[in-house]
Amino acid sequence: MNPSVRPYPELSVPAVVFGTLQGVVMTASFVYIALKLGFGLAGSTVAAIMGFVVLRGILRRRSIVENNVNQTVASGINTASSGVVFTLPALMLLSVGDPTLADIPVWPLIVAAVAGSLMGVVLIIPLRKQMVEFDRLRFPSGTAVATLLKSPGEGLAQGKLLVAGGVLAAVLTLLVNAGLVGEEVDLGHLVGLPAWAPFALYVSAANLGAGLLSGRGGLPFLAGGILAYSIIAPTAVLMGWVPSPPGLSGAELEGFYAAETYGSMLRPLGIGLLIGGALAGVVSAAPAVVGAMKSLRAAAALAAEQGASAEEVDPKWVGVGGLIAFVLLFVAAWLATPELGLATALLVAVVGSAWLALAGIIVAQATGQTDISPLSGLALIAVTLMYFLTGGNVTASILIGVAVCIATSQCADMMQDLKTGHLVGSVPKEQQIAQLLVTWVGPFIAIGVLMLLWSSGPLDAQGQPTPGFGPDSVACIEGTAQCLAAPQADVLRGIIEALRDSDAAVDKYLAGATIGGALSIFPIGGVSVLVGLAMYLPFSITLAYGIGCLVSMGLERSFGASFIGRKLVPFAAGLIVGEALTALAWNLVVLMKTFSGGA
Amino acid sequence: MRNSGPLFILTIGVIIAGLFGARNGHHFAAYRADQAAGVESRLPGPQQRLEGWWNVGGIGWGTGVGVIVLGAVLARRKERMDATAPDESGTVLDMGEGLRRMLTETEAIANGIAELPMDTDAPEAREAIDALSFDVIGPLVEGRGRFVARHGLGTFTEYFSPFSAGERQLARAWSAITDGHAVVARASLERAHVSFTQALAAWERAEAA
Repeated sequence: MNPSVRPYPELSVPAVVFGTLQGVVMTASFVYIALKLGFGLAGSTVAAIMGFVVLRGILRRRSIVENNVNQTVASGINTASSGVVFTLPALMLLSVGDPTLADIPVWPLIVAAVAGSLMGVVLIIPLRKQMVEFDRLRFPSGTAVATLLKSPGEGLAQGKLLVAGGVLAAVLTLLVNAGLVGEEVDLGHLVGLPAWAPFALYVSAANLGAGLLSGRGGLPFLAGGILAYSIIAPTAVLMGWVPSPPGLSGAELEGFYAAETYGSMLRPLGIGLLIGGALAGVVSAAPAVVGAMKSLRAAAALAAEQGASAEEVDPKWVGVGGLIAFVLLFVAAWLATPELGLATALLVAVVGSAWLALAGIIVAQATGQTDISPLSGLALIAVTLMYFLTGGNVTASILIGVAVCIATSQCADMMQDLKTGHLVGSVPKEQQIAQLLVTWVGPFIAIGVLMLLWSSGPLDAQGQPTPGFGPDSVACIEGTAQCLAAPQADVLRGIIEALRDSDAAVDKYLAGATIGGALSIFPIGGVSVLVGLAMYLPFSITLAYGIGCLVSMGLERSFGASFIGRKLVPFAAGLIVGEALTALAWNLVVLMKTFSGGA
Repeated sequence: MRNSGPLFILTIGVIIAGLFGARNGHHFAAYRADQAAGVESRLPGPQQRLEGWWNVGGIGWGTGVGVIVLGAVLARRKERMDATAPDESGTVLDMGEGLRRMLTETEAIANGIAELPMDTDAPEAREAIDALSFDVIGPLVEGRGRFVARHGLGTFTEYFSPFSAGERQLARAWSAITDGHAVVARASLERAHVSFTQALAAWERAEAA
């Protein structure tokens, strides 16, 4: 081959095959880790580094954009793991006490999961221009991965900053995981503040890094946290709006106030704000979305005229994909619960798709601004909606919950990857096709692994199979190393049991949604999502992130914007990458130790 | 600080609306207290919760929402006035001026690597792209709120969309130079030039309207 015309690899067979292999391995292992430890892990960083090793190192393929496709594929598959593992196991756990739920409809669940995955991807394609190009959301993890991908071309100084950030994050993560440094530094306790006026710092290098990358844009998040936890919560307690249970006093009473102001006041209000902000955001961004669609069509027409390839997937294929996903969701709902009838299945699919789209936008905006995703809250709303819509049908509710959870994870992941692509100059269409090609793989692997683990419990005295995971599994009752507690799913199980008692914070959702809608009139985009997210999360996370924003603003004022781009971005990217890799390595070591009986 | 007056009003509105929006009705509050004390009691249904909240917080919450809307509307009006007023600080980069500079410098970078063979690095071309990103693209991106207020969101997308496409092509040229693909880098710079030309034409149309 003539070296002067050698093609520049991007959407290539090695990138897709290697990305798929990585995605499959990560999905299987992350499902297991999430059942064991209760949280998911992001795969983009790991995939990008493996891409360096295999594509660039072993296969000698020098292409930053090809590695971008590789990490897009790997994380696009792996993202199903968190979507599935936080929802579906709840159905399995509920079936222990309710034999009517014992028949897990595996195929409808897989179809619903694939529908959610596909809908997440097609939803995000037309929004790329709006979120990445017009709104310029920061997507801290996407920016960090871009910095990593570009490292071969960055100067030595920037490489050193990336490594320095990574090493610092690794040390901090190890200290926290080893228990030598607390997960939170309770500054409020030091100065005698009560528990209901929290002022603690969450110790996380990645959180600080996300704040550093967000700078001034993240300030409404900090402001929302201060309003919620330093003004609203203390005022509510001091005004006597939080009841004092008889028999509680001192630290116990303070703890009750703190839990009550957060759990039954600020958190549901925050969810409402997120919903209202997203709804109003859809309306106010309509001209931009229309403009983006017009520009997509114009670009496609121009490319066709010039005989060149368009840079984005044609909007008509996006529509076809959306339709296929909707039909799949309808079929899944109908197959899983034929007793509900066709009309209810259709209603479930329509409302589920509408909520899924809205939740996808919320998650993409939230991660775009803060790197934090309110996934569990949105899945909870989906389950609640479906529970009431189907007259209390748990299977249908969780089925849609699975689809929503996967779709929203997919939206956040795809947008992060597209941001990375924008920063390294990838062709969006190549990334979008890559993700569409593999969008069905993750649900199969994640649900397959879950079913395998569920059916792997020992037989009881009557020869009946026992649960393979969860608090009622033999391993967890006996406290052995094989115990998979599935903490997130156990929380969802508790919530569904509460739903059976009609416990839904409708007042807070409505109040919050109206506040979110009103805030969206403010000319700075995304304020309601940031304020809602600040109420939804514990203040310690918001505070640490906000300090990152303030430090970034101070540095920009002192040294200029160029300093931020050249020095702070690689360092902050190092903090995010370092924590992600160290956390992954630590969890693998913990799992190995528990199996060898060492922990 | 720009918008400080409306922002203050908005903040007060969020505090009032948030405070009353977060308040629980008497039935639900009593239920939670009973739960904490381990006393059996009946959970109020959704309708009862909604009515209970409205009775204790409805008016305060409604007032807060009204104050938020007032602050937001005033902020929008201020933003529109600022967008049409001349920039006295001299810190805002004019889109047309920025795009003309992008066109000149993109062409210069392309000329600089015109003879660059494959598998050869050109750090000075990467430096030049980085400089464009920090000195021109960054300030234009920062000023987009002003552009939206000036022309409206629909018109803004007509020039900002090709501008962003050009920016991505520049990033692709950067990556291709790093990877030693000079042909791709030159093609990307040419496409960036085309995109910036389209953006400039759309900007001039918007300004003339």
